[in-house]
Amino acid sequence: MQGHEQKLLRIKAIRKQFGGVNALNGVSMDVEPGTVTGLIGPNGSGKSTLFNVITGFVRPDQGEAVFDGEPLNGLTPDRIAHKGLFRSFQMSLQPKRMTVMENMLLCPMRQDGESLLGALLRPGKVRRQERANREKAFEILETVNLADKGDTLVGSLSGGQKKLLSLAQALMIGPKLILLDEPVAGVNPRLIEDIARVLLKLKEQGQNFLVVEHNMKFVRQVCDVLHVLDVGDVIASGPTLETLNREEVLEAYLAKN
Amino acid sequence: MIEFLIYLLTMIGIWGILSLSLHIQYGMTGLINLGHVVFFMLGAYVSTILVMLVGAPFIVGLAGGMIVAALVAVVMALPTANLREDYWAICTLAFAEMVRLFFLNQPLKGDYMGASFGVSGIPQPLSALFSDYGYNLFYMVLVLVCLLAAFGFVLWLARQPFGRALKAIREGDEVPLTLGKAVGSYRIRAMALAGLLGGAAGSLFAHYNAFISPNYFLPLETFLVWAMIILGGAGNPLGALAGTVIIQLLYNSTRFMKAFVPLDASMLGSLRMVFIGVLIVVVILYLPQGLFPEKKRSYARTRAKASAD
Repeated sequence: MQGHEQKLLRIKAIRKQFGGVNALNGVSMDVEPGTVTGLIGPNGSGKSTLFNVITGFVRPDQGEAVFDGEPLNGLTPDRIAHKGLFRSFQMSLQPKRMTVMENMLLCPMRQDGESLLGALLRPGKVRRQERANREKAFEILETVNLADKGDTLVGSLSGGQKKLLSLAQALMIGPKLILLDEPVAGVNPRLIEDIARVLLKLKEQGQNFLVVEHNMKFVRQVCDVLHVLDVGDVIASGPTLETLNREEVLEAYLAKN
Repeated sequence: MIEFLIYLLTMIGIWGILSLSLHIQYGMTGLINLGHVVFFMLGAYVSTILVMLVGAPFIVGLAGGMIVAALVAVVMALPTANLREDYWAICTLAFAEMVRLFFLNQPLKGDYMGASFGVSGIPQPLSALFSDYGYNLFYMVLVLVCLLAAFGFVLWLARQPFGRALKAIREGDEVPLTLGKAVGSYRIRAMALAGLLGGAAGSLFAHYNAFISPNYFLPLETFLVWAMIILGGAGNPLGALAGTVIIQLLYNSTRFMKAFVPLDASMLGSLRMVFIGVLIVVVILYLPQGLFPEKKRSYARTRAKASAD
């Protein structure tokens, strides 16, 4: 069974308490390769905590996450990033005093110029890497319509543009799995269409996604599979449309709204 | 007058290196080090001890001062992993005072060397080769060459992927961590580089002044260096230098003001801190980015070039 059906990301009975409150109540779920998996749930249902646990920013009390066959437990966020798992960050955290291009060039892992000795002893190699990364970054910015924003400070981008930058940065890394945290919240409808299109195109090219999003239209459009979280428990999992119509899912959303 | 100018330029050179050191920490990495003077102090004391007590040549003293300051900088960087930045800032202040109190209470040799007596008669490198006047000129050139090297180094650093990661860390840990940058290691390395520069400034100062005492390394010195980079513009090394020039000019202006201002010297001496304080308030209010705001590096040109090929 293993090998044939290896899950990309396997979350096993993760439990996390914050001062007596159960944020995650033994959550288990899988992300299959070749899919866009959605993670939805009302506010406070534990989606962010789960993302934080997966990416190593929060340590779970119990349970573990296994990514591509390797357990992630106890690894620091930067180590987890090196395993090929990228998380889009909230746009309020993006370095505002850096330009779009600088943010892009920050992405590639293991750049020789990140070590002082490397920068000092192999300047030619560093320059070549920089040039290659720059070309790649310009190409990617082109695909997300940010080509003319390379030298703009991130602080002066609009909210939608910041989301696009986040997506562009994910592409710059080319990770095995991209975790998207509310990719279209607060984005105007036309741009939402664009983002959905980019996402579906990348999925066709074999990119895997795990998406947290409140916009149901967007979720229906891009997600193949859904997991629904409510008060720290997975209350439903399955194909998107079917899952959305389940009694308990409707209840969780309506009760909270 | 020429002698005074030589003195002033030497001081500007030494403090310029010191403010470039703080530029690496705050301007590039966002670390608020309130004990920055500790690097200066260690550079001065270690170099003095190596030259006077061990009998090493000046160059070894300089290197020793830089290395010890860098090592201490690494130790100071370790708690950044566990402390919030404001608490870390307070710790750095306390740490610098601890080191100063150690030197204040530790005799170095005999009854009158070290401790509160300070250390006098610190040898000046190559002084036998010059007349007094020529020597000061030589030392000024030496210091300015060091300043130029430090400036070049900082400019180079900012253009490396290493410097870019520091810049990201300046605005928070989450994004660089998510992008696989080992934030703790970057901060440690940035502090070590800052320690090297600060130590160099301290060593240059000790051998120029020929006398050091714990009183030279009060928290006030840290404050002055902060004033320099805030005035000049944090994030721009040119700003650090401009701030150094302005603060040094103000600081040394009292000897001329005597002629115009009917106040006694001690009053004037205290007044210059008031001037500097007011200047900082004005700059923060009207030029929050300092005299030389941070410059962004343009990549559009490289794009144009690439597509023209």
